[in-house]
Amino acid sequence: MDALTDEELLVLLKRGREDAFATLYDRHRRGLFLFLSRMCQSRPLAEEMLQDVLFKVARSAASYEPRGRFKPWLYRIATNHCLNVLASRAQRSCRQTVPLAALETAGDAERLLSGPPGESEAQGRVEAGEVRAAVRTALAGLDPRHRSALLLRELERMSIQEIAQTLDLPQGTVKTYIHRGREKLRRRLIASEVTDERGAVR
Amino acid sequence: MIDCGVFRALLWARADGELEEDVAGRLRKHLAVCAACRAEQSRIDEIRQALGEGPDDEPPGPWVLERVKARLAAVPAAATGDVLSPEELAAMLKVPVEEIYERLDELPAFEFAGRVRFSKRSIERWIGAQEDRWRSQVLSAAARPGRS
Ligand SMILES: [Zn+2]
Repeated sequence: MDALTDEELLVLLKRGREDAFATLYDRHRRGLFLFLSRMCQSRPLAEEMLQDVLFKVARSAASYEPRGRFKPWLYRIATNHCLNVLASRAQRSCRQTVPLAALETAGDAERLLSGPPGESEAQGRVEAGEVRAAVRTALAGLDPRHRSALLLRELERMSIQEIAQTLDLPQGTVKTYIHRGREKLRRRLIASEVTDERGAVR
Repeated sequence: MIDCGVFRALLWARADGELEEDVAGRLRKHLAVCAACRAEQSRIDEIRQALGEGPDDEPPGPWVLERVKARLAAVPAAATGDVLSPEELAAMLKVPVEEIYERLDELPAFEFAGRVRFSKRSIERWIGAQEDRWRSQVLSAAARPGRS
């Protein structure tokens, strides 16, 4: 089993071989779970989505065309599911007027960004925990489509072409999404450096 | 400092491993003398690290796979195989199995060892054709003038 490619395993799964499913799961569970966690920023929700995605993978195996590569196919299922879940949750929370806490701080980031970034190395030494919080906050503020493109690049190291295939978007659009996403994360990080420095001065 | 803008644009490309060696060499030299670009570089590293796997991101254990298998077992086997029986096709199309037998001449069926079977792929293609037909019917009905 271990010597087989993902694509070969999926063909076996298509023929009803359950052990092929387990091997595919072992290979991709880390990456897939991380992707889902970063997409929705909630572990319980990510665990739920992981099950849904696996279920869909097994159910869609029959329609898999062996010409395509497995990973874009897998992440296409994962991304579509994620976007659907996030959209329906956003709709629900809109009606209940519960704003995403993350979005409030995203506005601060823009406001704090006044001076030119990165003038000295002394500035910008931020605690690792703060950095993570800042980056994740900015990530939560991204449009889910931009977020998915960025995460496929950053976590799965997919090529632009593979991401375009996965998300069913033109390559130019994928590049724009990734660029914008990175820029927002970067700005949020700079903003946290500025606040950190102000705190230190006081 | 004049080149900083150019070098900053290259930092992400380098992080993506997409920089040609001679350009990467020039970038390295610039980083050695430019603190501002080094700060930019460390931001990229920090972003990478913050996005990547942390201690809280350990994937859930084998129970996930067990649950998924249980869910799969709870639905008819229709979607997991390449070949469907009339019962499985009925489950897939969500119609009584009698309907399948009644419309055998419309469906892409084949017989093997005296049993009627369907190829999942042919069925999917057939559904695609039905969708096209339905769509063109709806469209032509919508285009017809004088329907108020
Ligand atoms: Zn520089």
